[in-house]
Amino acid sequence: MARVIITGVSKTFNGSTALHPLDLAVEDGSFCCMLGSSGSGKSTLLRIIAGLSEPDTGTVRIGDRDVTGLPPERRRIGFVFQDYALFPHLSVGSNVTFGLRARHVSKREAVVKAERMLELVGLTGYAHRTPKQLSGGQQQRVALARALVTEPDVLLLDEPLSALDRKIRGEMQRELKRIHRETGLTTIMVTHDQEEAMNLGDRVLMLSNGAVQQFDEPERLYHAPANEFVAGFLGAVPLGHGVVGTGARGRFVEIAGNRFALGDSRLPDGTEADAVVMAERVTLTAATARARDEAEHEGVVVSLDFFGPFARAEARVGDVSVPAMMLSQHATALEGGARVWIRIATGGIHAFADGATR
Amino acid sequence: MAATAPHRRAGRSPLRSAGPALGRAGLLAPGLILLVALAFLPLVAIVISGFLNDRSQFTAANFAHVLTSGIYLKLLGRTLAVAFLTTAVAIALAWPAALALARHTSPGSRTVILGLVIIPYITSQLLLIYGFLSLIQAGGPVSFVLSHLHLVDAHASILYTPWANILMLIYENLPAAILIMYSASESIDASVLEAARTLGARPWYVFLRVVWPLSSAMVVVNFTLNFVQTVGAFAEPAILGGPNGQMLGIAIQAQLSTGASQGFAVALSLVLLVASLVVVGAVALLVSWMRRAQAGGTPRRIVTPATEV
Amino acid sequence: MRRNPGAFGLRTWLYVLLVVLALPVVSMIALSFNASRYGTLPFRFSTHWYRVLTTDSALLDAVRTSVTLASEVTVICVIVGTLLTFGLHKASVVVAGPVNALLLALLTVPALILSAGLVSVFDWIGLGQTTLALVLASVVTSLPFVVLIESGRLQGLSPDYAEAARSLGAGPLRTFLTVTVPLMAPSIVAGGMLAFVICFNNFAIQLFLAPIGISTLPVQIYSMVRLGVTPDVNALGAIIVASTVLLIIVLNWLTGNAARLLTNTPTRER
Ligand SMILES: Nc1ncnc2c1ncn2[C@@H]1O[C@H](COP(=O)(O)OP(=O)(O)OP(=O)(O)O)[C@@H](O)[C@H]1O
Ligand SMILES: [Mg+2]
Repeated sequence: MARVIITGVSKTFNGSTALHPLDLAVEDGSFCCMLGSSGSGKSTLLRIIAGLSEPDTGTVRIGDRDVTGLPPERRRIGFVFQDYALFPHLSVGSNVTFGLRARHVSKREAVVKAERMLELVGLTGYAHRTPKQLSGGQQQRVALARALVTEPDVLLLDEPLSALDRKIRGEMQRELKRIHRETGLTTIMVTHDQEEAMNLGDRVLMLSNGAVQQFDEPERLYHAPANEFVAGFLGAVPLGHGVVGTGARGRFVEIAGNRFALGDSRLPDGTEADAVVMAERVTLTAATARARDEAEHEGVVVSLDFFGPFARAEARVGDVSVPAMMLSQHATALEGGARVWIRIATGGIHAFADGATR
Repeated sequence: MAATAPHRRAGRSPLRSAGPALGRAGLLAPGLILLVALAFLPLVAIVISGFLNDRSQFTAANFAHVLTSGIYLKLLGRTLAVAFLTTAVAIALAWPAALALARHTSPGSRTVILGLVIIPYITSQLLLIYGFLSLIQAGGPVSFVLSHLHLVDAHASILYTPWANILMLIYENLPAAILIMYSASESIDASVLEAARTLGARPWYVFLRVVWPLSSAMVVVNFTLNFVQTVGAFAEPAILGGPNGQMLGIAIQAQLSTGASQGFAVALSLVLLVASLVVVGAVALLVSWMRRAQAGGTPRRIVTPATEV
Repeated sequence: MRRNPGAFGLRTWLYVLLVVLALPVVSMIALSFNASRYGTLPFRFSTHWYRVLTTDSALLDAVRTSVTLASEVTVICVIVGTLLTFGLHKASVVVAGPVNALLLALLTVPALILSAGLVSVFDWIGLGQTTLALVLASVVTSLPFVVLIESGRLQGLSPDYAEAARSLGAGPLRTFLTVTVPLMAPSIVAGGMLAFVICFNNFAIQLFLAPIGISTLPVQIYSMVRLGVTPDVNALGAIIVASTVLLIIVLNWLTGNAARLLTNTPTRER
């Protein structure tokens, strides 16, 4: 069990920067998810923590040890690879005992520990199989057991679930959560799936272009994205460019003559800002259903798309188009061209000056 | 050995559609005739004419002669030993280089390096022997440099000693060894090697427990191909080896060239062939035994909860 | 990987080995420009041996003989090998199995031992040491390499192309000639080149089967080298190595990867 502290770590590959100098502290026993689009440097950072890659600058500390110059085998880590990386020539059991045998644990003891670990990941009785005889989900469990059995200080996972189908992935997420709870192991996991990161992480590290965008609890990330990039990654849609102000009902951003309520914003009045909206926080009501509430905007539905349980509509308020996400059952009353009342829940709109400050 | 089998039958044939117009037999006939006449017959001939004496009578005398002659048995032993040594050393030297080539070079330089390895691979063996000879002869480049460093006498040379022959055979085995071990190293997943490191295995342990078992099949292929060819070497020992560096190939060649006792030459060849196949078989068995011992040791025990009461 | 000492060590070893591999070849090229009669140092630059080479009729005859032999053998090998490849591809296991075994045997039996068998067979059928015998023997030792390379390509070929051609109305013969053969072309050329090289270098076969009084290049060098060093062989060697480099470049260009081609191929005949 140990904290992971990264100071000033950077990395370039043949002149192109993969990681800008970066600091990060992952608390003992916490579950940190690294989130970011492809090529944002997630794997690079994880591999530097593991010692599979050397940083150009900076230090990595695990617990109270500076491990910067150490090779991976001396860092006391567990690493789970996206493609599982099971040893194809060894049985499941031998895969799990590999790390123990490499550390000179006696065969008898190794076998007992491996057995217990396979039980933890729900693979009791699979020890004699070869990796090829297992499904993808089972292989990933073996990889997990193999990484856990050596009782590492920290568990590192690089997109461990991305090769699995949706259903198994949900199952494995619950499994990872349970194992983290049971072992209390400091865990850092890379993913590009925001739901997965939100679901699993105590903390989420948002990376883009090799730089940290935000490192926060999942709720904070969602309710208070640090910048337009983070908001966009979590599904926010650009609303338009406007000016921040304060009116009778509180802060607003005025876009093309329409005033949209802002939750809390530190931007001073008169700041030019880009506004984004969370479509799932927008509610549309057919104008025929009832009278308009004061807080609602009046608009016209321009498009309507169904995605099974969900539907997505786009409404126009003047020249501004506002997206709305709703349960399909709520969309039945709507139709293209119809007048609607648009309600945007508090915190549904964020404004960022120059795409940065909130 | 899959890499060496010229044919596997594919499920769907790209030619199925081109079928009737070109008779299957017509395609096969020329090749079949050639192969039967000039591959099958010679192989049979080796066996038969080994059992014939000068007057074409059937006899096992040739083999009796080979197997009871101290000289030939000693020569056979030395030939097998030299072939084993040079093949094994070539693999041992080539392997680390092949690993570096597969893992630690950029794709661009890889192409160039492979090209450089192929040059000696497809250059006439006689030219290579010639180049090697001019390199190591007294007064040649090696002796020139060494004597100017006052390491050896100006007229010293290993030419015409068994070592010259051995070095040459190692040299000739190197390109194939590098190429084969390169393709073996390349086929090992990089993340599997990294996984081993993260599990606490030092580089040497990774080599023993991961790289070796995953490459051992190719090592056997490599050994087989090089060993069997090295066993039949005769130009190298004849040109470079001097009186103490002889191999059985020279004896076979001498007997064949004089034409006097073809049966005896063939009997020698056959003994050599069988002996080398035995060595190859033994090596293959040993390696596969080692591989199985490693892979299967632990798991049987792990399932004990089900079987142990 | 900057600070990875293991990788650095391995890579250094690779370069050391490359230098060692290059030594005899480089030494041969260097000595071809050295004036010394005995190939000894110190070095004095001279193109003398190239001039000597142009008048060394024995060596030039040997080159001519070898090139002619290798060319004839290549043509026969490509034709027979290509037919065999296609035939085997469609043949039943009963036929393909033994044929493949024979091809494999040709690749693994030492050339010297195979020569012994071939000498016996040619004696029996009355060909003895004739040019025909030499050509036939060379064909049979180069053939497996052609089949190996071509069948590798044929198996990698998707049947979709031929089926697409048939679905577009092309007859079987037209499909074969306009679709399958062009797709196979790089491997046919590569197989031919390899056959040429293998045949050119096949010393053992040539030593025992060449007609009396006719020397191929390896045989000629063999007889010369036993009488001591003659530097015009260095000059010839330098020219041959230069052609080899060209050949490798062409092979690389044709197949994308000459090394892959050769790693699928067992070691050369000795
Ligand atoms: N070994 C390498 N050599 C050169 N460039 C590399 C190497 N590894 C990563 N990069 C580059 O560094 C950048 C970050 O890559 P990284 O693998 O960390 O991204 P990632 O966030 O893990 O992406 P993904 O979600 O696709 O896995 C990319 O631009 C990538 O091209
Ligand atoms: Mg990645």
